[in-house]
Amino acid sequence: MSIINYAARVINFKIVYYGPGMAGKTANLQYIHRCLPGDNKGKMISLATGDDRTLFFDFLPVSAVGVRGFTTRFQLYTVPGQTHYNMTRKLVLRGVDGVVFVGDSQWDRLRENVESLRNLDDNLREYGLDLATMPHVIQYNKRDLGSVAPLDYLEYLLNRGTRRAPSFEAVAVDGTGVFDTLNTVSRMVLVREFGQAQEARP
Amino acid sequence: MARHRTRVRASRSLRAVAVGLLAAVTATALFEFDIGRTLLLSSSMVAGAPPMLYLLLAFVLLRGAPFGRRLGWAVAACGIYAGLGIASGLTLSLAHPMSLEGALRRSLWSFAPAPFIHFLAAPLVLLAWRPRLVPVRISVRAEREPVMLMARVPAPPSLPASTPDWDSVLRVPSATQWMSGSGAPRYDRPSREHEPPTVYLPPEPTPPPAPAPAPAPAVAVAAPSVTAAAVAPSPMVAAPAPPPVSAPKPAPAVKPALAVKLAPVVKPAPTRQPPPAPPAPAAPAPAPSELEPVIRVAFDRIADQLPPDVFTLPPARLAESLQEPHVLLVPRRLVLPQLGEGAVEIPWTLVDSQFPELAFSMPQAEVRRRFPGWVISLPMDEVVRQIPLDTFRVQAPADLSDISEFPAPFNPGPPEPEEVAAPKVPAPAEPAEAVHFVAVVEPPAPTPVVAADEVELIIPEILFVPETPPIPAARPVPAPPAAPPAPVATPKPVVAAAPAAPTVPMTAPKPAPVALPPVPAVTDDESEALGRALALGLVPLGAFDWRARRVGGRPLVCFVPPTLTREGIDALAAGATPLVERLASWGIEQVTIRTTRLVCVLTPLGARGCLAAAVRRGGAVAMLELLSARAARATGDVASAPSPAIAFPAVATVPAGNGGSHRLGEAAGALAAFGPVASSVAEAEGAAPSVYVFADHDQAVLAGAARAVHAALMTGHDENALGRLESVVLQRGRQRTIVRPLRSPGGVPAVLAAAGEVTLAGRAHRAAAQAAALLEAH
Repeated sequence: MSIINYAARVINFKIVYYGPGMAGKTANLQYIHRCLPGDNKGKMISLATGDDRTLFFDFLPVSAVGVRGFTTRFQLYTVPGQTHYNMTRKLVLRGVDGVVFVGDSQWDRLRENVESLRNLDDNLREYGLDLATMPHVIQYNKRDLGSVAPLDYLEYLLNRGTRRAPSFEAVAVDGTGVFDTLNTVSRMVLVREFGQAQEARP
Repeated sequence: MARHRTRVRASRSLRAVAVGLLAAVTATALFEFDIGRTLLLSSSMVAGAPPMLYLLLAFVLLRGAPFGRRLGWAVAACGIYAGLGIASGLTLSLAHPMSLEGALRRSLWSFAPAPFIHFLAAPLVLLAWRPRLVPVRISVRAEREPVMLMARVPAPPSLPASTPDWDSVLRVPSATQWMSGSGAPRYDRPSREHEPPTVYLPPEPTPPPAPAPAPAPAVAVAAPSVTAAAVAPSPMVAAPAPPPVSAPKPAPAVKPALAVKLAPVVKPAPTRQPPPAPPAPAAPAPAPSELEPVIRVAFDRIADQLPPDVFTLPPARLAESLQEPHVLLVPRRLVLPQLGEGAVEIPWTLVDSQFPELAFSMPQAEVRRRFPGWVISLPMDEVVRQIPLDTFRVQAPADLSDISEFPAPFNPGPPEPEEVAAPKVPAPAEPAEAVHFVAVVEPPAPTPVVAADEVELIIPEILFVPETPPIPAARPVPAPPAAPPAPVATPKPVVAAAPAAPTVPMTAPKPAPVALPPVPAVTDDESEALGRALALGLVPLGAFDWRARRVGGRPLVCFVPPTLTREGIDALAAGATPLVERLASWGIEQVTIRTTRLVCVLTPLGARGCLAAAVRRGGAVAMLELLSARAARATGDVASAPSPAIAFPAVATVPAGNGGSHRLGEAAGALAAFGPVASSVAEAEGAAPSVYVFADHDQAVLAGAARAVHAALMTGHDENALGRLESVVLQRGRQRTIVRPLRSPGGVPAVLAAAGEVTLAGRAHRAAAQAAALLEAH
C-alpha cells in the first residue's frame, strides 16, 4: 500500500525486486542508481557479504513524476535471494505496491526461479495479497550468457498464469531492459493508484 | 562377468535338461511298473490338444507380452513336447526290450501317461528361459506400470555399427577403472578403434510418424498467449529463434541381444541368443505404445548421477551397452508434467531396464533397496529442445491497457562510473536469518505536515535482533562554547529549563538551557555515519526520514516517519536531549514520551549523543523501544556510561500516612503493577509542581527527577504540533518510572511519579493512567 503524506503532497510507493539468489536484483538497482540524475535519487544502501550476496536488502529511493499534485516517490527494495532468508523477504514485502520478479535465464537456475516465484506468491498471500492482481513485471536477466533457456519456455515456466505479466529480457549489468522494467512496473503502480493518467508531469 | 554369463546360461540349460530327463524317466518308469498301460489316447487328440492348450497357457502366463511372444512360446512348448516324446521313446527302448519304433509309438500316444507327462513337462522346461522371454522386471512392474518403456521401442532394422562386443564389454573392470571414466584406454575394444570416442550427437529432427501424431501434452498449458507483450514503449523482446525440436522418432539401433533381454517385442537373433523354441513368427506391427514419443538424453549428461558401485562397467562401456547406445530414453509423457517445475527428474526404476542386466554388480532388488527414491535429473536444455514449441506457447496478452497513458517515470542518463555507486555498509560476516538491517534513508520531508492522521503507517509484526556493523570510533567533538541564549526563531521554541529549587547539590552538571535550532540541521560526517548506522536497526519499523544535528556539542539523530511532522518532533527531541543525558548519568537507559498523537523514544548513546525516534500513536512502541535500545547498544557508547549518580536534587516529600488524603491510598492501590509502593507528596514550590510520588524507596530523588522532567518536557510543550503530553517513562532495566502530568482544577501544576520494577509495561502504563485519574478526580 502506498504511504501518502497529504501535507507534503508526497506519495511513497514500494517496489520490491524479487527473485532467486544471484539473479541480478542488486545489479538492477545499482544500474538505476548510476543512471538516474542526482536530484531524482536518494542514497542507495546495500548490505552485502564479501561475495556480494545481498545480506538483508538493498534500498534505493527515487523520485518520479508528479501526478494530480502529488510527488511520487518510489522506494526500490531488493530481497536476499537465498532460501534461508525467507523471513527477511517476507518483511520486505510488507506494504509492497509493485513487484519486479528477476529471473535467471540460465538452464541450471530454472528450478530456483520457479521456487522463488512460488515463494513470492506464498509470502504475498500471507499479507492477503495476490500476485495475479498485484502490479508485477517479470524480467529475464542474464540474456547475454550462452546457456540460457528460450524465452518461450521461460514464459511458460514463470508467466503462464491467468493474467500474464509483462516480461522483459535484460542484462542488468549493462542496463539492457533495466529501465524498461522499472518504468513498466512504475506505471502499473501509478495506474493502480490513480486509475487513468491525469495531470501527469515528468 | 563372462564367467557369470556362462554360468547363467549353463544353469538354465541344465535346469531344462533335468526337467526333460525327469519327464522321460518318469514316463519310462510308469511303463516299467505297468501303470496306465491300458490307457489309450487317440492320435488326433495327442496331436491337436497340446498346441491349443499351450496357446491358452501362453496367454495366461505371459500377460503383458505381445501376441507374437505368446505365440512363440506356444510353438516352443509344442516343440519341447515333441522332443520329450522322442526322449521318452529312446529311454523306453533302452529300458525295455522293444523296438525303437514301438517305444516311440508308446511314448507319443499309445501309452497315455507318457504324453500327459510330456505335456506337463514342456512348460516346466520353458520356465528355465522365462527370464529371457519375459524379463522379471517387466512381470514385476507390470502392475504398477502397465506399459513398459522397452516395449515401446520398436525393433531395430539392423545391427548398428556401434553395437558393443559383448565379450569385451562384459569384462569386469576394477574400481579404479570405473572411476577413470570414459577415457580409460583399457576398455577400448580393438575392433572398435575406428569408432569415435563416446560423443553424443543429438538426434536430428525427423518428422513424426504419420500414423502416430504427437500426443497432446499432459501439462495443462495455461492460457494462451502472445509472442510479445504489447507494452509500449518497452515491449518484450521477441523470442529468439526456436531451438531445434526433434520430433518423436523411432528408436534406432537396438542390439538384438539387449532386445531379447530387455525388450520383449524385439525378435531375438538366433546367432546371439539361442532360442528356447522354434523361431517365432515375425514381430507384429509396433503397438501404439511403441510409437510413444521419447526424450533422448545423452548418457554423458547424467552419468555423474549414477553411483559407481552399482555397475561393473565404466561409464563409457555402460553408455555403449544401453538399449540405445549413449542415449537414455525417457517417455515424453513422463517429462511433460514436470516441465512447469523447471526441472525434470525421472525415477531410476523407470529407466533401469535400459541398462543390461549383466552390467549391474548387484541384483536389481538390491539396487532399489540401497537407493530408494533414486531419481535422475535430466538436463533441461536437452529436454526442452525435444519438446514442440507449441507446448510452451502461451497466448493471453499481458494486461497493460492503461499504462501507456502515463509517461515513463524514469529517464535514465548516462551511467556514472561504477565505483561511485551504491556505497555499501560493510558487513563483518555472514549472519543468521533476520539479524541484520539496512538503513532506510530518505531525504528529509520538505514541507510541514498538518494532517498526519489520514496516512497509513506500516508497522512490522516481527521482532528482529539487529546486529549493525560497527561504525568507526567517534571523534572527540569539542563542545561549543557556552550555549548563548540564542534568539528564538521558531514560533514555539521549547527550552529546557534547569530543575527548580535544588535542595541538595547535584553531582551531575547542571544543563544549560538549550535553544532549539530553528534552521535546518547542521550535519557532519560523524553525525551522518551515526545516523546511517542507527538506521540499520530501525528498518523493521518502516521508512523513516532521519536528520542528524548537534545539540550541546553531541549528535542528535532524529528519526521521523514520513507520516508525522518533523519539526515538532525535532524540537521535542532537542529539548529533551539534555534531560536524557542527565538521566543517563542516573542510569536511565531510555526515555519514552507519549502524547495523544505520537510516541517519541529517546535513547542516550553515551558520548556519541542521543537517538530519537518517533512513531505515530498506536504504532509499535514496544518494538521501537527495543530496536532503539539495540541500535544504541550496537552503535553507542553505552558501555562507558557514567556510573549511577544522583543527578537530580532531592525534594522533601511528605509521606501520605502523615496526614495524606485517602486518594493517595487509592492511587497507590491502583499502582500494584509497580509492586509495593509507598506514597508521598512534594508540595509545589513556585513554578515547581506538586509531585505525587509512589515508590518503595528514594522518593525524594524521584520527586526531584519528576520535577526535572516536568521542567524539560511539560513546560512549554507544543500541544498543537505534538498533541497533549500524557506521560514520560524513564526506563532502567526493569525499573520504570512513569511521570504523568496531572490536571488540577486550580491550575497548580502537579505530576504523578510512580516507580518500581515492572514486568508488564502496558499494564503499568494503564495503572499510572488510572492512578492519575483518581488523583485528578479528587
